[in-house]
Amino acid sequence: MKLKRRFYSLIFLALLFILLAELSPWTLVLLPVGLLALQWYSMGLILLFSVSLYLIYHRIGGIYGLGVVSLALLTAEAAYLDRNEAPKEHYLVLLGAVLLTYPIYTLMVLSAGFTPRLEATGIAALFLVVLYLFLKLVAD
Amino acid sequence: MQQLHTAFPYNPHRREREVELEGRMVPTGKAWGLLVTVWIIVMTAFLFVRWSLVYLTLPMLLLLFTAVFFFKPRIRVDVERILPHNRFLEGTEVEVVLRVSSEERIIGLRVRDDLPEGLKLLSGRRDWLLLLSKGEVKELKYTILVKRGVHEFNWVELSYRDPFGLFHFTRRIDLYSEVIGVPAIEEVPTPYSTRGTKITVGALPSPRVGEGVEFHAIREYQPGDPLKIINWKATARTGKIMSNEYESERKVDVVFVVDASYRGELVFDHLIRAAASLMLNALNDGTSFGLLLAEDVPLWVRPDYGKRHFFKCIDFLSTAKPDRNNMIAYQVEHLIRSHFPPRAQLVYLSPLLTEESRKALEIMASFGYNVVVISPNPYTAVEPKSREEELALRLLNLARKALLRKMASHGIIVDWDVRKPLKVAVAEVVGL
Repeated sequence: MKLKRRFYSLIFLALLFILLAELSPWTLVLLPVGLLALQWYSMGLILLFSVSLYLIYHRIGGIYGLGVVSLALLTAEAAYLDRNEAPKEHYLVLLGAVLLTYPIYTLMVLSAGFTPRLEATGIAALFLVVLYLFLKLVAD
Repeated sequence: MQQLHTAFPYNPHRREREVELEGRMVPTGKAWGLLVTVWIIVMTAFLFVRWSLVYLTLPMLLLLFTAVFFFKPRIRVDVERILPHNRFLEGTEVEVVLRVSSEERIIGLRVRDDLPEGLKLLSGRRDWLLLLSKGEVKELKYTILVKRGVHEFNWVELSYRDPFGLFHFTRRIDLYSEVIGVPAIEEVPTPYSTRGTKITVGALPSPRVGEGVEFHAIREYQPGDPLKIINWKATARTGKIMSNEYESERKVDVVFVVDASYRGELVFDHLIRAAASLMLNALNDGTSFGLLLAEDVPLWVRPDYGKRHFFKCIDFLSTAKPDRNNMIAYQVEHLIRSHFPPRAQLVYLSPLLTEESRKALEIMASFGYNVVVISPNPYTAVEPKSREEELALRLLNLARKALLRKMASHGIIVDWDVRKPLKVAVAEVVGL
């Protein structure tokens, strides 16, 4: 039987579970959700949320945490592109957008060394306000 | 079949639109889903008092920002739909081509074509996600299976999106094309005769006595007869002046009466195919023919000759649909009184399921018309799924046979088992 769709998203899914397996073998319980994410975007969002919840609960952040979240997001988004047989350039744009996370995170980490804790809280609050404004802009 | 196909001139059927799409950026359901996920992650971080991990949402936020960055407020595209013809025999596979081009680079354009209800998608898809370079032309193809009827393509939906499908503006533009599925035609023998004593294939003699080439009978000379028709041998034999009678070569008018009652829906396509096949037969014979399509609003086409007239009738047959008409007897009676040519040969196509349709046959016969009834048997179009169903069908078939025997005095009735070709059914009845 010939499958009529691409499966590029499987690459990201495999990488995601390699990273997660290093944390704990229990994370493999998310594998069925990951496989369903290849077919339904909503399952991709559930995978993204579950992975983020696990990382937050276990206080796992840094490049590693961002790597896991990025791969979960890439799985969900690449699966969407696979289903729509999107042009190859779209995968590159997706990869580019997600990879932008790392220079920005590095910048945040570097700037955090020069700011006291209270101001860091202020920056976080500002971050939320920006997010709210962005949501409002989009909704309008 | 081939004959009909080649009779249509090649006419590439194209519709083209140049569209400028402009609109406000609207988040898709996908964007809302992503934003809600971001929100939940932020809330979770606060709930577990680990707010510093809020930065885990960075990849998602950057994806949203990139999507906005790639979004253009206005695009211009040309869309064209190409069909090889606009008339196809039912059951034909047709390739539809949508040609999309753009004068600028468009990173995400979703194109969705209208697929009329009566057409079946055989291969390919009817929505595509495209990336168009400047001046690039893309041809999007899919194959459909044409059914009988008029099928209208009304629109093409263009949805301009960012590469991830998070924002869009969508416009449905008018792009009209028409596909007419004409009924499949098979070769059939002529099932009617002018006198009802001889079934003929080919030219038909008329019952009207007059000048012609075919000898018909000898009768007594009547004042006014030309001298050249006096039969001298018969005159010498009988002692009276006798003249020859000839049959006119003028052909009869054939009127096709199609019963479009919804009760015969099961065999309606067979009914229409039979009408089209018999019309082609009449066309090849050089006979003039008319059509009464007894729908709710009856459609009457006066008898005429030629291919143009044939295609006109075929177009009407293509669009015919069974409806709740229960007035066929009235319609037939009214048209017999006002429009039907005298001494026409009537070909009545009906499954004879309703009282009205049977009354219509009685009326035709009562006005002295020769009637041939082509009656597709609806019970032969059903495959019984159980023993009970099989028995029920047998009973219904017996009841139908008894009914047809009762109606046989009104004309020649071809009880057509639709699992067999029409020509076999006609040949069985008229003995060809």
